[in-house]
Formats: sequence, C-alpha cells, structure tokens
Amino acid sequence: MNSQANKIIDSFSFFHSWEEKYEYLIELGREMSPLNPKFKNDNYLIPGCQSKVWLYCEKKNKKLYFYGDSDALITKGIVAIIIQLYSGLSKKEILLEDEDVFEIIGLRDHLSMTRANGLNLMITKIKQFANN
Amino acid sequence: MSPLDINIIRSKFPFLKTIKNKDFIYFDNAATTQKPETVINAISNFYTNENSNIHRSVHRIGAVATKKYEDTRWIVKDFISARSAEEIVFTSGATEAINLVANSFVKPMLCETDIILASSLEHHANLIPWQMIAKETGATIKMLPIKKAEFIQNSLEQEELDYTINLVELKEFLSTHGDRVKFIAAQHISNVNGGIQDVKELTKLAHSFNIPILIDGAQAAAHIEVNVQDIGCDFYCFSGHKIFGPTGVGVLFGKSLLLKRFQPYQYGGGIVQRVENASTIFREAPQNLEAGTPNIAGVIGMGAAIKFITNVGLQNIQKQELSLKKYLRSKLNKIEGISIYQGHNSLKLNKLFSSPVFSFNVNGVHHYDLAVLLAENNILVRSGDLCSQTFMRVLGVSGCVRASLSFYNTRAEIDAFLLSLKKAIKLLKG
Ligand SMILES: Cc1ncc(COP(=O)(O)O)c(C=O)c1O
Repeated sequence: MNSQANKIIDSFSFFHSWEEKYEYLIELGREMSPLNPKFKNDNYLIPGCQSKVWLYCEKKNKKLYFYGDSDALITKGIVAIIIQLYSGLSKKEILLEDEDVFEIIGLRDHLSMTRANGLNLMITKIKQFANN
Repeated sequence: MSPLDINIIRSKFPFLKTIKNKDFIYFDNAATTQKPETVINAISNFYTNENSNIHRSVHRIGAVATKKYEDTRWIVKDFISARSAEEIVFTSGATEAINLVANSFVKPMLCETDIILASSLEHHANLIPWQMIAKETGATIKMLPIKKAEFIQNSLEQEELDYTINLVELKEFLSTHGDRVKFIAAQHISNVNGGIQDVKELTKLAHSFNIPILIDGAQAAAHIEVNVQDIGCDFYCFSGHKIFGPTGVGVLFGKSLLLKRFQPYQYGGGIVQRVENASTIFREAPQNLEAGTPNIAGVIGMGAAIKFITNVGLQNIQKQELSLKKYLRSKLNKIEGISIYQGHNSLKLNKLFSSPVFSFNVNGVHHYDLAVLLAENNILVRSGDLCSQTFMRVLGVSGCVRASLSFYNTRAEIDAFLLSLKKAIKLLKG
C-alpha cells in the first residue's frame, strides 16, 4: 500500500464517530495547499458534481503533482485526501494505485451515496492525467 | 370528515415502520412518496393471481387484467375530473407524458417562425422536450414572464419574492406575438418552492389567443384537488410515484379532440385496427398512444394509490400539510443566515398554501455539505439544482437543500430535522 494511504488511514483511525471524521475531513480540506486562483476556471472544473471541484496537474521530474479546490467543505476534504494519495507519484504508480482508502477510513459508504461529490470522477480525472 | 390519526396513517406505510427504516426521517417526498400497503398489495396481487397480458387474451384471467387496467382509466378520470376515460393516456410518468405531447402533437405543427412558451421555473422534464422540438423545427422557445420582483405580504410570511407567472405581461406579449405562439407549457406546483400557479387564469389567457396549453401537475396531484375541467387546460400530466403509487407509470390527460390529432411516436402492438403488408390502420386515442405491453401492474398500483388518497381525503391531507408547513416554517425562520425559497402565492388561490416544500440555503454553508451531514443523521433530503437549473438561476444560487414533506410526516420528525440541521451548521461553520 502507498505510504500516503497508510498515513491517512492511520489518522482517521483515531476518530470513531462520523462527526469527528467529518470534522477531520473538513480540516484536511482547510489545510490543503491552495490552488492558484488562475486555475479555478472551467478548464479545470470537473463537471457533474453538486459542488464545484477543480483539479490541476503539474509535471515535475517525471512525477505528477495535483492541486485542487472545491466550494463545499466536505468535497474539499475529499479533494485533499485524493491529492495526498496521488500527488508526487509517477504515471505508472498512479495507474497502479487502487487502494480504496475511503472504504478503510469508513467514509466510502457515506461519500459514495451520490455521484454528487464526484469522488469517482476525481479519481478518473487523475488517472486520465496519468494516461496522457 | 374526522381528523387524521397520523399513527394509523403511518402504520399503513411499510417503509415508515420497518425496523430498518424506522429511524429514517423521510423528507424527500417531492422526489418520490412512500407507498401504502394497499398499493403494494395491489401490485403483488396482480402478479400473484391475475398476471396476464391485456387487450389480447380470450381467457378469463386476461379479461380480469384488462378490466382492472381499463377501470383505472375511470379512476383517474374521476380523480382529476376529466370528461371521459378516453381522455386518459397511461404513460411511464410525467416525463413521458410531456415528451408525448411535444413530439406527437406540438412538433408536427411547428414551423420556423413559431414560438413555444415555457417558464424558467420548470422542472427540466417540462423544459428540455420543448427546447428539443424547437431545435428540430427551427421554432423558438421563449420564457413566460414571472413576477419575482413584486413583493407580496401575507399572513404566514413576511415580504417575499413572488415567483408566479405574470399574466399581465404575458397578455401584452400575446397581444403582439400571439399568432406566433403555438403552445404554452407551465407547471401547476413547483418542485423547488412549492408555489402554486394560477393555472386556470393562465389557461383562460392562452385560450383567448387560441393557444393550447399543458400543465405539469407532477407536484400537484398528491397535494391539491385537480380538476382539469375547471382549469380548462388541454393537457395535464402527473406521475404515479409522486402520489403514493409505483414508479414507471403516469398519466397524460388530453382533450379528446386533441388526442385524436396525435401522431403516435411509438409504434407496435396493441394500437392497430388492421395491418397490411405496407400500411396500418390505427386504433383511436388513447389506445393508439399506448403501444406495446404497458405497465399493467403499475397502472393497477396507481389506481390503488388514487383510491388511497380518496379514502384519506385530500382535504385531510391538506389540513395536515398546512399544519406541518406552518410549524416547520416558523422554526426554520429562526435559523440564522437562512434563505428559504418558498412559494406563498397560493394562499388566495386554493385557500391553501404552497405545498410543503422547503428549499433553502444557509449563508456561508454549501448545500451539499448540509445534505451530507443531514443524511448522516438519517434525514433524507435532496440537494443540488433539483432538476431546475433555470429556477436556480432565477434564485441566483447554484443549488439548495430541499426538505419536502408529506402528510404522513410529523412534528417530532421536524424537531429532529431542525436539531440535526443546527448541528450540521455548527460543524460546518467551525
Ligand atoms: C414539476 C415536475 N415535473 C416533472 C417531473 C418529472 O417526473 P417523472 O420523473 O416522474 O417523470 C418532476 C419530478 O421530479 C417534477 O417535480
């Protein structure tokens, strides 16, 4: 398992109630390094989510780095986790990564209830970046 | 009429009393309602004891099924006070009913200079079909004028924006462009704010310019009495699943003379009189508009749902909903930073109210976040654009949370909802 995934799972294991998990998720979103406002435009918007999600990808030394944002706090937390998972990996590593951390941290059920939060769309987008 | 005992009512809805669902608070009734056991039993009984195809069989069971299916046409006719059962077409829902009118009636008479009027308050189901046929024929779709800027004072609420169709402005528009307007489509009740349109006056106005009109009653039929003769509209539609019936079935009411002019847009079995190698003589409406084997169980289930509503009494339903609505409204008002988008215009109209639909936003909080946290508390609401992006634009928001009630909801549920809502706001505001 990707060491970032381990870290996320480890942090979430301290929280038991869903309130705490969401509070932590929201905190992760707040702490995420911000997306340069110039990328907060329709070109980087992931269509089809209830809240707006922007995802920007930068390539450095054969590794991909992701930056993102959302107008909803919970979604922003999801973005933060996804970025933590995939940022700094090579294309190959990204395409191989299939650990379902959301399942393990106990939020998958909640977050996958609707297409609305775009969790799957975000992961698809990241894999697309890696495929190009 | 005796007042309703809500505990008895709730006990008739298996969904509301199963152990698994007992803790859910179902506030998503505008999306779909729960089903009473009489509806579930009617469907189950059909498949268990009467399952056979209709309009085809010579055997007794087939005759029973045919009779139940055709009886439902009469039940629907009485429910909406149509003139005759021939005016009732069974569809898969309100969406199909609207698409049927658009494609089989309106599209064949459109040309490039023509105009279709719909409103920006519509559900996508009552907007996109019109856009599509306009695109295909080169006709134009224009928006009905709405009042929104006018403030109205009423007993229940403070000043609010009025989202009803502006008949004065519409009349002016029709006076100059009336001959080009070939069709009007409008909602009866909004799925966003529960506001009720004055569809009777709207119809009168349309007819004074000889324009046929469709009223989308998807959000109305479970809440207010619908009388299509009184409204006078040419077409009216609703879905079974929003009136305590099954999904996948709905109704198009159409005046007989107009239905006869429909060009079926689906062809198949059950709609023909005589088929030669190269040509076919069709049956008359409504049968020619129900090609193929229909949703027989669904239609029978919808019939049971209508009987259920009639037995409970729409007046009882309204009374209950008005009381719930006032209660929720008074409490919601106290939440800091809340904007409630609620129709209120109907007080005068139906001596009633808007239907108990509460769409809202809380300042500084995203509707998606609220809905997720409410769902964690087992409170089922809807969030997003509510299939009404144009209405969202009128409201100046990208989406909202919608709590939509039905008469089987309770004050205790409202209290629990409010508690969770406050908790969620607190968590999100940090
Ligand atoms: C006002 C309105 N019209 C039409 C529809 C479409 O109904 P259905 O999806 O059952 O066809 C809905 C459903 O939400 C609605 O609220």
